[in-house]
Amino acid sequence: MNKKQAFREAIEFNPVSPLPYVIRFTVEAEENYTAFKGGKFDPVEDTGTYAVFSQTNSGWEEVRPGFFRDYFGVIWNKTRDRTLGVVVDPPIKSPGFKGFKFPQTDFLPVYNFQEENNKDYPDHFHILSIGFTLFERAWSLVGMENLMTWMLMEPGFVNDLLDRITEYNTDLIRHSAAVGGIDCVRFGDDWAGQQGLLFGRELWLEYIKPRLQEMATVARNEGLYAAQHCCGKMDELIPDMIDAGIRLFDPFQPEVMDVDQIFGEYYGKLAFMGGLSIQQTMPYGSPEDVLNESIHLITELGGKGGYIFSPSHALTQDIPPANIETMINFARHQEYHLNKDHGKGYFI
Amino acid sequence: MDDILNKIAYCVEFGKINLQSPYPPDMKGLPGADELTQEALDKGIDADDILQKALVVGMEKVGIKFRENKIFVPQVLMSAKAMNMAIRHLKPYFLSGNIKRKGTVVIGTVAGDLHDIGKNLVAMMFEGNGWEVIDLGTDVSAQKFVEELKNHPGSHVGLSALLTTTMVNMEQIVREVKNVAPDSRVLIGGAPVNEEFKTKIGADFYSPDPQGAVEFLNSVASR
Repeated sequence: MNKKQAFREAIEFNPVSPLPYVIRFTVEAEENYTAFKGGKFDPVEDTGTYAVFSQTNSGWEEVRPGFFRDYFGVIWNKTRDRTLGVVVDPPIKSPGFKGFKFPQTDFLPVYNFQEENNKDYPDHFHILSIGFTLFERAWSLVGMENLMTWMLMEPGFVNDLLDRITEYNTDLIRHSAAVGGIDCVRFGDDWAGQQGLLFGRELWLEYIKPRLQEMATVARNEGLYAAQHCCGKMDELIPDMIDAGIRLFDPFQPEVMDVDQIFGEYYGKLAFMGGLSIQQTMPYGSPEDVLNESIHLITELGGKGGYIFSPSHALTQDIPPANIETMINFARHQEYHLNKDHGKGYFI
Repeated sequence: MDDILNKIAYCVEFGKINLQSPYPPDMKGLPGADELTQEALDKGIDADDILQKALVVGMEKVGIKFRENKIFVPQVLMSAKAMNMAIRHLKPYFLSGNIKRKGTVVIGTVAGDLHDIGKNLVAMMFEGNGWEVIDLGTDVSAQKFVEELKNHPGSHVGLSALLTTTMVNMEQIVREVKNVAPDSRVLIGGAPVNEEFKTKIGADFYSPDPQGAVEFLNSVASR
């Protein structure tokens, strides 16, 4: 069974051993870890990760040092945070589309990444990752505070805006499916903060759910799994998200949700990816803490399918390389490590 | 007098900015914080009473409901807009000294971090609770905080960070602030921050929500 097949089995709730896992890096973390490894490190081959991502958040044009134009023409300042960045100046200043043209989906850099991944990693589970899918795309275009207040004051415009973004996304999914090779479409939208939902369930049901359902349906009709990334405490939306057609969820943050309880509650309906603490254990724990949490996740959640082991975010630059190394070694050699005869301290 | 102050507080609580505003739908066509504040001043109601008995009361309810996840960021922003509209009418009274602020808070997102929505929400809550807010924006260095503290002696400091990679910069800022202004209280907040981290870096207070920060500063001011 290759990695693609193993990943599919796991998210279909079938037991797989070794357990599929995903390890990803932010730009800064990858540079740090590469230096730690003596200047030679391949984030796919040397981690053994089971999935590769073709991302719409890549292939942006650098318009001046540290500033990038995304597919929608929005300029992002990445001088501080080179992985995500922040919007410099949202192009839509008032509720209307005057002077703004939505992009076409015919020719996008993400299709080239997709072909490269198809060529280089045909046996990996291949995810089309649509970053800034809907809510985040909307605020990148109009500004966060405008979007939030227009949700209440200008519902007609917000509905139009989200409809156009949804149309763009569904076109993108169809194009990507035509290019071929992908297994899954992952939508990325942070609807929540550390304490709860940013705009509440009522507005989420009104603005997000119908469009999420539409995008997930297009993915399913193309033979693809629909996955959702959403940071923050958003567990109250999980039943609605499942109802909308989402089958895989990340990052499954242990700081804001009880991963064991939620995994059990939705077993058979929603598979989870993530769970290893990126806010506490990875940056501030010891290698042994990383190992213990990893063992817990793989043994308690991974045994009967429905779980992909992963840190609860791309690895960040503040994580000690020793912790990253411990996690990678553990994930790569989990069967050996989980054999009680070999003892827990082997990889530390 | 209480009737109109209650109405202003209600407008702030539910985000009714002015007559034209379509939000909230059940107050369509009714005057908002804008008109009612002007009406209160025209009736000779003391500006400080408008601040303390209307705006502060309204924003406190907003803060509590936000903490309890009964309302969310969009509703808080609408309340802040209503409050700001009312405060515009009160500006001359702040300048003349007829209204006394509870104190000053210098607030900013720490060096290396460009995110500002959380910081902005906290700033709005402080302002709506009678504090003067010096908002230094995002990516603020320790040096900049120290300079502002020298310009505003007796101020307190609010630090925000969204990322684990930037929250570490809070430690240096706390250290330098305490060096020049040991009596200033330093409050911290943001997604990855917690009570343990507050203790570790020597800050005075951590709150997971804006209302907690407001209540802490109010308690400091009343001592």
